[in-house]
Amino acid sequence: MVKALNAPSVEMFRRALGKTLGFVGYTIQYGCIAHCAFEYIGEFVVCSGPSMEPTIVNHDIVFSERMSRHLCKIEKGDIVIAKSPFDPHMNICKRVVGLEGDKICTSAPSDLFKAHTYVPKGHVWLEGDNLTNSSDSRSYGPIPYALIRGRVCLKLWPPHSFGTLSESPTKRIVKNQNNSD
Amino acid sequence: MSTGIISADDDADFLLSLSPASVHSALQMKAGRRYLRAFISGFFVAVPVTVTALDRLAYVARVEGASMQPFFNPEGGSDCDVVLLDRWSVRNYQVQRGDIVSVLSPKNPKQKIIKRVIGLEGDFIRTLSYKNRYVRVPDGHFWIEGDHHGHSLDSNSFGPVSVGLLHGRASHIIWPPNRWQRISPSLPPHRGPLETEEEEEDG
Repeated sequence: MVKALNAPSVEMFRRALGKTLGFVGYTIQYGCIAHCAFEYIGEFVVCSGPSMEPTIVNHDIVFSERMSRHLCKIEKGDIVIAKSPFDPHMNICKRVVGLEGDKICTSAPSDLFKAHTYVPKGHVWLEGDNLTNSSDSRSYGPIPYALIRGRVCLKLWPPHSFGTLSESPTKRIVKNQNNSD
Repeated sequence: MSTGIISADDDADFLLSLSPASVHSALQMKAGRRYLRAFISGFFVAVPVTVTALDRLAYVARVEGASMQPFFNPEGGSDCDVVLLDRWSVRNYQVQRGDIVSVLSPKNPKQKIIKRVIGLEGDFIRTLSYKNRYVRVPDGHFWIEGDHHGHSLDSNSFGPVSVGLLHGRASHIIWPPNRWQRISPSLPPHRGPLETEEEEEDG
């Protein structure tokens, strides 16, 4: 193999090597740019499951932006994508109902005695909009803020519901600040 | 490339007879523009590549505080150890008992803490100062502790930690150079899950 090489084939080999290296370099460069864009700007997520039903239905495509998570600007009422606390490979899409220090009512609306809990430091309380069919903080408690991956800011598909997301249909979010002691 | 430079020199020689000062400044501007373009294109290559490498492959971090004494910062004081965090090996959230890992703090999302993994999901742990004496680590969680018991804010105060908070695995001590070493997983004596105490004791 080596003996058969002569000058033109060496030249060809060098050109092919240069082309391959250039291709690899461009691939790495664009891969890195894509990684940075998905990691720090935003990503497209296909939602599945019934837990956010009136707001996001099955197979909707949403855009989740990452910046407000890195800047710690997540607020009450935002819909977020978070890693599931029990399976890091799975993502959950829920609405933030309480931030750290908030008082959350954990009992069912029909209960006579109301049970309350406080969200500990560095945690958030997530609930789905479909309260009857959602496993969320009501079953597994508050989750750490650092598990949040991004804030859903735009619905892209289906086209007739394109635009920003609506407010919570449940009356679970208490906007007044009288309990922030 | 070389032919381009020669032709530019030829142009300069030819034009020099006309008006030396303007040609000189024009050439300077041309060179400056070329440098600027090279700088910008290099910038747009270097920054994403660096960020991606730090996010995906490895990360260098300083260890502060006394919670991992005597393994890190044995002298205490102001000089901090520098460790290399392997992020590629934890991309699938695979760790073993005895590994030293860095975790996003569940108490403060802006802070990272570095601790030793004592138990994985399903293990039974005898806790040191937690509210329950014995704890079964739930699915998707692990139990982490600092080596310096009592001076460490770890699972004994906030309970099992979700694996999704995993940030990296400490693989080498880089600084100071006289303690340069590869970190191998090892459980401290008398710590570890209850049933499997006899295995993996020396990693």
